[in-house]
Amino acid sequence: MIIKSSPELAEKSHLAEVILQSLNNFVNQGMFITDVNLTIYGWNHWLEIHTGKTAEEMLGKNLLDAYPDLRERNLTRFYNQALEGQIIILSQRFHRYLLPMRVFNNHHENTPMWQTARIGPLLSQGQCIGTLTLIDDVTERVEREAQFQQQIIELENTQKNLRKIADENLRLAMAINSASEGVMITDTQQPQQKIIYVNPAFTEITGYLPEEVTGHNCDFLQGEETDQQSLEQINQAISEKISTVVNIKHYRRNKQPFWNELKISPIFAEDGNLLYFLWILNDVTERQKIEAKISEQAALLNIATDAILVEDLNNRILFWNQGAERIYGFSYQEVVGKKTTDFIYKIITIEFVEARLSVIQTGEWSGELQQINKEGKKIIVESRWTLVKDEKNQAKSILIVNTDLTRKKQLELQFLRTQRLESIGTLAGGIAHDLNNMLTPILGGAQLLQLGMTPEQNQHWLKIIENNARRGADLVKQVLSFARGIEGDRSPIQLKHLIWEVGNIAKQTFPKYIDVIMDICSNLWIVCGDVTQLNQVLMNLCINARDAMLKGGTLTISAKNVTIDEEFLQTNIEATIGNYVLIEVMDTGIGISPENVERIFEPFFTTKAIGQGTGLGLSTVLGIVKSHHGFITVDSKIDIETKFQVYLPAVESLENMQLPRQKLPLGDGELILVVDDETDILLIMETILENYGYKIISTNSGHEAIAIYQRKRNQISLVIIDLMMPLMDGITTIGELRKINPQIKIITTSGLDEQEKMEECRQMGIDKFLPKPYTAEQILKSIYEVINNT
Amino acid sequence: MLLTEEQKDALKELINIGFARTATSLSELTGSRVILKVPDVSIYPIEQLIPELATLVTGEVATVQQIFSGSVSGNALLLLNYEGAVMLTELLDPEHPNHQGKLLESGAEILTEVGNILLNACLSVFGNLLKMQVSFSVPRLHMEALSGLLNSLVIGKDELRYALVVYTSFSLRDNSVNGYLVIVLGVSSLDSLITAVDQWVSTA
Repeated sequence: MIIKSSPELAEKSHLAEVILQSLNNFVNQGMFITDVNLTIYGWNHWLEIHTGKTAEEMLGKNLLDAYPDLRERNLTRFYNQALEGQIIILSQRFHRYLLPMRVFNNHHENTPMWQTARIGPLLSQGQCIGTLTLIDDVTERVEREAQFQQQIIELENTQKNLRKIADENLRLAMAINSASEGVMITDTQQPQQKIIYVNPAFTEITGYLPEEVTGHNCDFLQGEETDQQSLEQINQAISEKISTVVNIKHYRRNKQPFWNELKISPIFAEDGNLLYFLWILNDVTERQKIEAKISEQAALLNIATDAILVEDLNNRILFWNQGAERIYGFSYQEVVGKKTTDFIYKIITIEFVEARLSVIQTGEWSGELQQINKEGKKIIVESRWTLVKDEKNQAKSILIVNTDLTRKKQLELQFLRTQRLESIGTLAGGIAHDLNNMLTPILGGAQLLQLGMTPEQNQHWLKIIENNARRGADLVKQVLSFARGIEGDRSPIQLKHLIWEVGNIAKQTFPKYIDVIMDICSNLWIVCGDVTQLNQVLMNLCINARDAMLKGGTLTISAKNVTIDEEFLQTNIEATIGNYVLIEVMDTGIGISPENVERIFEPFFTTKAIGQGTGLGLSTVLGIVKSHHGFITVDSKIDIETKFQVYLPAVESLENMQLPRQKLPLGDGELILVVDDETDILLIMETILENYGYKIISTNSGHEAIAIYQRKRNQISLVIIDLMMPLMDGITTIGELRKINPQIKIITTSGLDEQEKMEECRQMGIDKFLPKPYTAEQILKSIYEVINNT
Repeated sequence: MLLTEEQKDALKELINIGFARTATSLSELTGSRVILKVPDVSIYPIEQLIPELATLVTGEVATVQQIFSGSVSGNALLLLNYEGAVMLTELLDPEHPNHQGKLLESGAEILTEVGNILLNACLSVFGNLLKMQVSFSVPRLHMEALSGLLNSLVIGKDELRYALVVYTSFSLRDNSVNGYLVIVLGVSSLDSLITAVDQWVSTA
């Protein structure tokens, strides 16, 4: 402001003072004047009000004395600068205030006053004569700005939150958009549950576009096969505002039905009001088809009569079908996770070990196995094992299919037995005739001996009697072994002896118009087999030969070693390369017609008259030969000859196995008590035992035997007892003897080759059982073994 | 009228002396180290100032303007582009950040105080140099477009006038803000100033 001197005003008063006086009360800010020494010369009314210090009080006071903190706050420099002619601006932000004052703020609180200030020089004719200070109260402005700042911060936070929510919504929307399940949202506020949103997967599943369905109720998905019960379930969930899942048949836009696994969930607002229903659609048509197929397959597995099981590589059961439950009697719950070796294989057989090795090495195995069922009964199964591998081609588990052969095997056994009985029947006539032939010289010889003849003649007749008796014994032994009907274990056999035996029977029993020729290689290889069964094979073939030669002829039984090579294989598919023993049975009978050759091994096929054959003979032969891993061929010319060739595999390692003939062991004067009701046997035993270094006491009754043993128990080393005795039988006698000495050593003998008796003896702990008739060699060996515990 | 290199160096040196004091007082006020630098000075006829500054600052500018009078009279301005002005207030007073790049009244007041200090320092240097008292008006802050501001400087003056532009750089808290100190003088005032500078150089 430039003030021009007015003569009028100047006349009336000192102008400056007038102006100052006016400003003093006029301006709405603090204003004070100092001289160059900062002594206060002006102090306006505003300052009086806000500092509480009157002008009267302040005038003449030095500023720095009145407000010492100006110096402390280093503000005096600004006054120095003003005195140098500069104008100073003091901002509130940097200095907050110049002079301490208080005000009532917006909230009527007594707070410090925030100030801005300007300090300027008072200039007079180019000279600085003092300072002028103006103070503005900016408290309200500062507070307003602070509030503004706070609002901005809040606004920014709100924006941040909105942004976050928007981002989340965006992500959610993207997730729903890219979901493979159909999503549909219906508005519960509108009548009819109108659709307000569907995602792209909904369109993909149903074929309906969003614009076609929005605003509509979703019942367009229903069709004629949509079941009422599912619809009711949905309606109930909607009315009760709860979640539910239904499997419902829905229809696409093209009217094609699909199975929809529909999940419905209500969406509530924070205040608990129901806003929407969320419907999630899942097309499970394919899955249902697969499930149906799987359950069908599972049902098939259960229908199968075979036991189908899966075990891991540690033999633990993973799967066990109903067939297995039927065969073994164990339920799935009983066996799952258990080792098969703990319940169906009580004994680990060679076959089982072989199966395990084979399946691991080659991926499969098949063969017969012996197992036991829940009742502990032995069962035989035909077992097929397959190794199951995982996707990395690592062995994972073993799939096993077991067919129960137990019943079949039993039938086979019955077959064999029936067949044997039939053979016996056929043989009976011959045997009776033969026995008579043997008994005739015995009876005749015995009568002649009673007449008293020369010692030479006596010897002659005795020899005849002995030979005939021996033949009779042989014959009986044959018949017994034939009728035994027990499965013998496979053991190495020298067929030579067997063939001789059968050949001899044929010679003795077949009609005399049949010549029996035997041609047996002397160093025949050993085969592994069952004597009884092989005997049956040969007998069958011989009997057939006999029956083919009703008008007489020649039966040739021959045996030799053959080696089968690749050339041979081409005409015999059943053969394998290796060494075989070939047994040929050839007759010169009526022969078999070519059309019948094809059928002769079929069960019940026979060309014989009714009542003469069962038709089981050759099928039994074939079964036995096959079970020995051999094979059989037939060659026949009508009215000339028929030749059966049986090939049995030779045991390589046992080729030259020959038991060395042992010397008969001698006794060392041991006393032996022999109990037998047959006096003849006692006499023979006395002779034998005494000749071989033993002493003997003999008796023909059990009672006497007990009496003798009571007297001489310390001397008697061994008791030989016949089981079949009148009055007190062998078993009872043994029982009594045991009471006297539980450690007593006993050998039993019996004329009957009875399985039961043998079993009984074994259970009683009898040391040895000898079937009659026995040879001196057998009895001497047995005595030696029992006495010496070898 | 152009400055010789020698004159430029002399002016830079003189202003730097003044700015050293200013920097110290700014450091005291803000509590952190402030460095002021004068990388260059130039003189332009007032008509050339507009295109010259237009290459340096664009858009809205913040100016602290102060009229001075005495044996040398003219117009002194601290000119910052708006963003620079906002940034400078934030660097000087970090406790009160601006929002969305807008200066509030209290922030603008800081700028006025700082501009005032700077202009005082610079003009004091010249006053001392010319051995004369310069009187100052109250500084005012303007926010407007560059062209409007500069036009107000040009219009309505008959005398041939020149502008001394002092390039100024503020450095604090690892940041720097560039501003321009513009002193508009009549040709006679400028002449006296340059003569005085020459004398100062020769006596120094």
